[in-house]
Amino acid sequence: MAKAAPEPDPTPNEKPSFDGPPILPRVATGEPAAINECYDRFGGLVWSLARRFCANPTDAEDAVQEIFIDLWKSAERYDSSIASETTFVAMIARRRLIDRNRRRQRRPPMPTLPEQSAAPEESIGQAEMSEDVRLAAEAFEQLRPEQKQVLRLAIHHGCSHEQIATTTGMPLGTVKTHARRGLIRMREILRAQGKLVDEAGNRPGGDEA
Amino acid sequence: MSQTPPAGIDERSLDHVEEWLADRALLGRGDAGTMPRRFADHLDEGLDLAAAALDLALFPPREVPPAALRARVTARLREVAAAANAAATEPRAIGASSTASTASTASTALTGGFAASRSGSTGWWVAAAAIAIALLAWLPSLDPRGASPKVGESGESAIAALRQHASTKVVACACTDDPLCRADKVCGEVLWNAERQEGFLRLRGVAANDPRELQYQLWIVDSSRDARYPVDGGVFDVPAGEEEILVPIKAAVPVRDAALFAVSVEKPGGTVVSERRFVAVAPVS
Repeated sequence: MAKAAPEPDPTPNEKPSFDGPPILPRVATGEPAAINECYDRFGGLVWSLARRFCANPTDAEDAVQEIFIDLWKSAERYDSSIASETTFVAMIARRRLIDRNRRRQRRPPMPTLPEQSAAPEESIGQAEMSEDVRLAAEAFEQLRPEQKQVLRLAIHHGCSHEQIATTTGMPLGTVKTHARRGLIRMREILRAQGKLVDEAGNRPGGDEA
Repeated sequence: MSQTPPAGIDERSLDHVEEWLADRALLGRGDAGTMPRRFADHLDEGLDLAAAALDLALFPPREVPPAALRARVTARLREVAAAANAAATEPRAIGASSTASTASTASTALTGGFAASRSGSTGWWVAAAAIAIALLAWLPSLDPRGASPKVGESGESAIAALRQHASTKVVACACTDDPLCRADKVCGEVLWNAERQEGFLRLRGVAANDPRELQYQLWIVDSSRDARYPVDGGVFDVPAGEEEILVPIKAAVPVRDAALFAVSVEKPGGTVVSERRFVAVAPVS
């Protein structure tokens, strides 16, 4: 999946690219030249996530800045044997974005029938993503329908359990169970594929679906 | 759940941990509450990473950020990197010229012990120190309770408060021969209080800048640190029509023994490695 490093200063209409030679180890060492490269590599990814979580472009720009600072400080924790750089960056970004929404005591507007708002089967084929992301898409298809519904609402729209319960009509406890078991199942499938390992290096097999 | 609990944790507790981790991955740390410390060894990021991978899989990023955002983010990251670099050098600086307080002593520290790999970024500090030494002969000594600055009232009161502290140092700031500094030798002063880690740079006669083209950046040489890595004191502008400005000094890391303040001209947003173009220097005597 290695590709040529992205151009240092991409034109605005250029398609974001996330693959390339490892950069987070260079970020971790504080290499100044890695600053621009890191942004060029992951700016599109972070911006896309921020736009989805933030109410307006101004908020998104502030969030992107905070995320890259988080990334700069967290890069030394990155372990290439556990996940891809893309997934790690997305994790850092999601964490910051969710925390920002919490701080502001408001969440994104409730979606209208969001479970059909983006067809995974179509989107996945168009994505130029890392291997663990591709496997995540496959793992998602192995989940129960209700787990998929809950996770799609929670992950894409940042809905709380209560909001999901209201949207789907499921009992709150059921929503929590589907969210937890669905995500655990995702993790187990990825670990079984060798694309996610725990910090002890274990790759346990899957459990119940 | 059929997963076998790790040693030291029962199945019920494992469920509790997994629930907490799932909440963290989906809802953030706040919603997840506080996890007992005894479970700390079991809090890996597997579910967070799974959620992130699923996010990217379901909703591939397709948006392109605004072009201007790149400069803003990278400039901020350079500030963070500069602070981290300065902090990283701290252990090496311990015991090195910790009592130095004059520009002359600072010069000794600056000119010795340069690492070859960083010599390109340190030569300019030698030049800065040399300028400072040359200026020492004629720079007037300033009374810490001298004339009030001709700046806004908030700046006035802040400076006045700082002057009241006996430990506040006030040093003259001297123009270099750079055309951007149009003052006659003395172009301002620096007030610095090491105890409070507060200070101000008052600058006059320095040309206004267009922030889209260049900005001024303040540097602080700390004798207690490795001389190769001066402390970033912040980036600032001189607005058009302002003959005198007051700049709060924002040291990126604690400054224990300031030996020299210097103002350089840099690209917008400042830099980690200076362009070495000075407009003013202020040696601490």
